[in-house]
Amino acid sequence: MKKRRVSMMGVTVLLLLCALTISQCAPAAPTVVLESPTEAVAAPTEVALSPTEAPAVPDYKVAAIMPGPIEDSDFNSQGFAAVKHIRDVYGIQVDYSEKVSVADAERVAREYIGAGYNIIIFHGGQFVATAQTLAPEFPELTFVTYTAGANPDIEIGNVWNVGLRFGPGSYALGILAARMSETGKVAFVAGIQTPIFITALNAFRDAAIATDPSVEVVYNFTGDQNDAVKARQTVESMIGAGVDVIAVFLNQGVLGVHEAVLDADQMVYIMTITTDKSEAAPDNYITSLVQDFPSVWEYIVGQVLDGHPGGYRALDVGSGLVIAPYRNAPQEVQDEVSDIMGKITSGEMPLELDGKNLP
Amino acid sequence: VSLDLFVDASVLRLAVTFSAPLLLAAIGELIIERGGILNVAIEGMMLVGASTGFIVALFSESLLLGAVAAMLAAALLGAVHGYFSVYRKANQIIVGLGLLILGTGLSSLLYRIFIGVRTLAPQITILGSTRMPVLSDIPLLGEVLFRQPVPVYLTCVLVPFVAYILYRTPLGLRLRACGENPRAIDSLGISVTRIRFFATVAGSAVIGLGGFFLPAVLTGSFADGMVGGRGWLALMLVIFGRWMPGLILTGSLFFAYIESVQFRMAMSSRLIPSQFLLMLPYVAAIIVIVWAYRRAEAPQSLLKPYDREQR
Repeated sequence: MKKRRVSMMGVTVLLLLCALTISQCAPAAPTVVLESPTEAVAAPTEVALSPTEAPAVPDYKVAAIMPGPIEDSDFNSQGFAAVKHIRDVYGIQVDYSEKVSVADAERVAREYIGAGYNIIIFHGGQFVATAQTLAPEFPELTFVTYTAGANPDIEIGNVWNVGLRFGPGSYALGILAARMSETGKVAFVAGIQTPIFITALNAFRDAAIATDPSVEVVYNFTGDQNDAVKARQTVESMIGAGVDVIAVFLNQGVLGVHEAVLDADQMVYIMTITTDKSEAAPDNYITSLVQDFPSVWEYIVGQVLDGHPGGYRALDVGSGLVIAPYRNAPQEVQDEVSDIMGKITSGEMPLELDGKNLP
Repeated sequence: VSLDLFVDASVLRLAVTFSAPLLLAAIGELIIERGGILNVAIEGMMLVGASTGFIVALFSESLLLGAVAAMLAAALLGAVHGYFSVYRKANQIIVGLGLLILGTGLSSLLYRIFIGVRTLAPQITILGSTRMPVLSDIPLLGEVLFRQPVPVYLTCVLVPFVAYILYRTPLGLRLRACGENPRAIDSLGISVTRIRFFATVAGSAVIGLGGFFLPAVLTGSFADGMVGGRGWLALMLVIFGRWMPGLILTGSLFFAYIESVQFRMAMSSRLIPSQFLLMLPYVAAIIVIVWAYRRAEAPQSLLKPYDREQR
């Protein structure tokens, strides 16, 4: 009997180990299809991506830490594309970790540092504190972090701060929302309350009200950038409350939004971020704020290789952030947005962006 | 906050729609627990069902095939659970937790192998809302109950069906006896192990269907970890429902209602932080479970491996 219990314990432990092994296998060996949105071409890559054609620069190794899965077709797949891009451009060794929680980020970064990686890119606004913790401890390394804009709290000695400046782009979305709404009720939805999204919300709201003071702006945070089910629940609640234009600052969660607007009885327009996903609901999309992370990473890594271990780089309209071609918006509305955006980018119309306080 | 939003038709309609996956998972768990096996791997099984079902539905362009695949995949996990917990008499909690981790990782792995990284996430054509002729025109009730996707109606039909099987058929009697007094049923020459094993497999298949409901009806695509704690809520629903299908239906509607109404409250008032509102369904679950558990009567032999040699 005793022997049987021992063998059962062994079998149970074995099952747990198998489970853990398979679950840990999941992030590795991705099938890479970044060129074609429709057709999967099997091109497995190793976790540690090896240099290809460009000459090797042995002194530098880049590690990227991403909060979600690289197959999210959004923020993290953009990060993965950027990893491959700098590998191809500079021929340096790169590696990445995905689905890293904030609590795990420091441990993962330290493992990379221990393995000789000297440029650590935190691909997400939630990792700022981790970068700030590690940067003073490893002054010879470079850390890259994302914030809502130039941040005086961040020492730039060995930190490259990427300002995800959604403010001006979000202001454009606010104008579009106010002009496209027939019910006079527009909405903003994001997942987590970071200064990046609070800035975007305030800019969106300011623009909508400045364009049409009678417009009502509602907003909500779903608690998760990637939960498509919660996103659908939130957006359906908004539609039920009479909203007909929504700025969606979600990542994978946007998939639930597509189904919500397609299933709605009335026309509901949406605008999203990171990539242009308008093929999923062509009649409902107005535009998207498309972020070009590969070019930003290329710039930063280039600067580090040239001997500049820290600095600030904005990802803003005209510098890595593009307003995707408009759909379903009348020409006069497009012209109005272009006119105001011209004033904003030229400095003629300065924006006061608040990333701390919710409306 | 206007009191009207608590009885708003769109809030109530959402509650009915989003109660369906919870209900499916909880009914599946009920079948398993009624036989005396505790399955804590619901979340992992739902994820495997969602992932497998989505992949099959995408490539075959058939939601029906996707549903079958989701049930088979989760049933396979159920068979593993059944083998270890029924035949090998392993600790059911440990086996369940192992399968939970396995299912979570497996769902991501399957998606990565078959779909991979794409610039635009592939989507399947979902089963959208259907207006029931005449009935959908009834004020309030019509919009809440008769403008639902077809799988929601089918899920509701499952409740009386399972109740009928449990309380009106010899099979149901044997299943309940396995959970209450397996020695009695064994003395009649009926195999306790076989009934428990097949209950675990069948219940897991229903849980897998609950997972597939998410991409097939709500999102049109699979996202990593998309079940988002609903498996744990389903586990609590079985306790809330005191192992009875009718009460489980009430419980799933209640939790889905809390979830739906909090999204509207978050939009209507800024007095309560959205983070607090987001945890409302789980707070409600804890409060209700504490209240319900005192009166609940779990199957007497739940969690106890059956060994006919044991005295």
